[in-house]
Amino acid sequence: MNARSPMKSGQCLADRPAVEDVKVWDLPTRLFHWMLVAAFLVGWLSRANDQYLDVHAFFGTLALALILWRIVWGLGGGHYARFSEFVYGWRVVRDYIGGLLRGGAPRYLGHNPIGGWAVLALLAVALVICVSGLAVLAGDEGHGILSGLMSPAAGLAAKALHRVLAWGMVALVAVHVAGVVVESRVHRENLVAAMIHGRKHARPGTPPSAAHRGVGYALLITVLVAAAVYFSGYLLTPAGQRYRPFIGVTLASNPTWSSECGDCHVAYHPSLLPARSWAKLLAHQDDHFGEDLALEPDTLKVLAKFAAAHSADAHESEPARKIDASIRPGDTPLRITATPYWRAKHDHIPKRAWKLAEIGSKGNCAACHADAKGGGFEDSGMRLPVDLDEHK
Amino acid sequence: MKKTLSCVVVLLGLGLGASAVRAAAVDDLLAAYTKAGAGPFDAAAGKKLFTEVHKAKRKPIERRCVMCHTTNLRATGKHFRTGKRIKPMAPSVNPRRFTKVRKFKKWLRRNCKWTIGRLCTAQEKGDLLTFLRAQ
Repeated sequence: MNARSPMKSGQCLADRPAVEDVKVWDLPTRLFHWMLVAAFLVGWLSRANDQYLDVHAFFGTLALALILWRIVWGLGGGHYARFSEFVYGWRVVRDYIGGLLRGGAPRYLGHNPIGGWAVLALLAVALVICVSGLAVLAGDEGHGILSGLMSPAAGLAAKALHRVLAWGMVALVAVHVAGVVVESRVHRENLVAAMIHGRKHARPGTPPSAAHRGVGYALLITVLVAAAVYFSGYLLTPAGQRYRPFIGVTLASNPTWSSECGDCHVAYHPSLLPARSWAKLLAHQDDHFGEDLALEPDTLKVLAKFAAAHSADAHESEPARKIDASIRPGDTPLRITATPYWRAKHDHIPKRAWKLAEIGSKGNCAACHADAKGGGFEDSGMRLPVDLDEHK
Repeated sequence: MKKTLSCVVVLLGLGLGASAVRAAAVDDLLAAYTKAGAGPFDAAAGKKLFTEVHKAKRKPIERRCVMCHTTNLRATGKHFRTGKRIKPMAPSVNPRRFTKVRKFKKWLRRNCKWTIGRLCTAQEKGDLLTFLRAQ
């Protein structure tokens, strides 16, 4: 049987002999399609949101796995899912477009020629989005499969690419949806429904695609198990503690720093301000935001040494790098909350939240950040301790 | 039996010893204040100093020790600005209070300056310590 032979141009559906429902899209292909839709949707909704980076990373990695699987399936899988079945050369695509414009395009049982190219484009762009995402996770955050292989600068470059392509994907999806609608109208069939149940009208005697149920179930179960394992931390963390999906390098600590600086507030890790800021703060200990600290000289020495060794300039962590980069070279901020990076990260929090009893002030990092004490401030390690809507 | 008995004796001794050390730090401080010309010390005066309002030039204009340490010294306090929890002042609940002279000196200096606007006199320090150690 030659599935590539379309109905003859001009042959009206009404003239055809009786049709029958034929299984075209096998279960694995259909599951793949909708899981990829879900993965991209969740990835899109969780974009640029530090709190949900673990969710974003999971669905991005899921998308990557799905695409790699689809490539394998496209090379050796179900009949209509094979690339050889729906990828056509430019001439055929051109003719198909011409046919569409004239109103007499042939109908293809599997993907039509443009649809075939759209599939490749969607897969290719999505693939680069996923890989660049892993590069961002590695370079910018220091996590994931590629960590250790990407520098922070490379991570930022990958982030720019990742963002541009994500918007490109949105555009492609829009084109894809439009194409599905057009094709459905032109050939009077419901292609969305077909991708759900897999059946399409065909000439009697058209052999259906094999069901490949086993592969489909294996795919689904693998995805569900992966999700359960990945997110199990949330269920296994004891009550009262916050689950930290990302745990970075342990930053240096100093008992004098922790006890002296932690006397009245969170013992802000020195990596949160540049060395010149700490030097200024320690030089003016007699007026530390209205208090005279009256620390003894040898205590001050220990503090100064620790601060100088691990200040933001040393770029020992993501917050250190980004806080340092955001401060203008001539400025010497004395408050972490005055740095441009801090402001940018927290400006979405309504002002009234800072006054709530559970939070208290902008300087109370530990109210929301589970790893404030260590100075790591990893993504997905923060939660507003209150439901703001209840405190209107 | 003999072993248990000797263990109990040792522990008892240590406990008594510890409270002796505790008492020593406070007594050392009071002796130093007396030497500086202060005394006799009055817990009621200490309590008054601890709870009354002191006026300052910068905000907050009205300052009181209990703003952070709360009026119930057995309870956990809270830094009024940062929200940091402060362990109870009362030695009956927090036995580590007033065991280190250095610490007491540091805090009294810092907090007298902030709350009252100046260093506390030896008399005031003695009154405060007499009041606080009994909580």
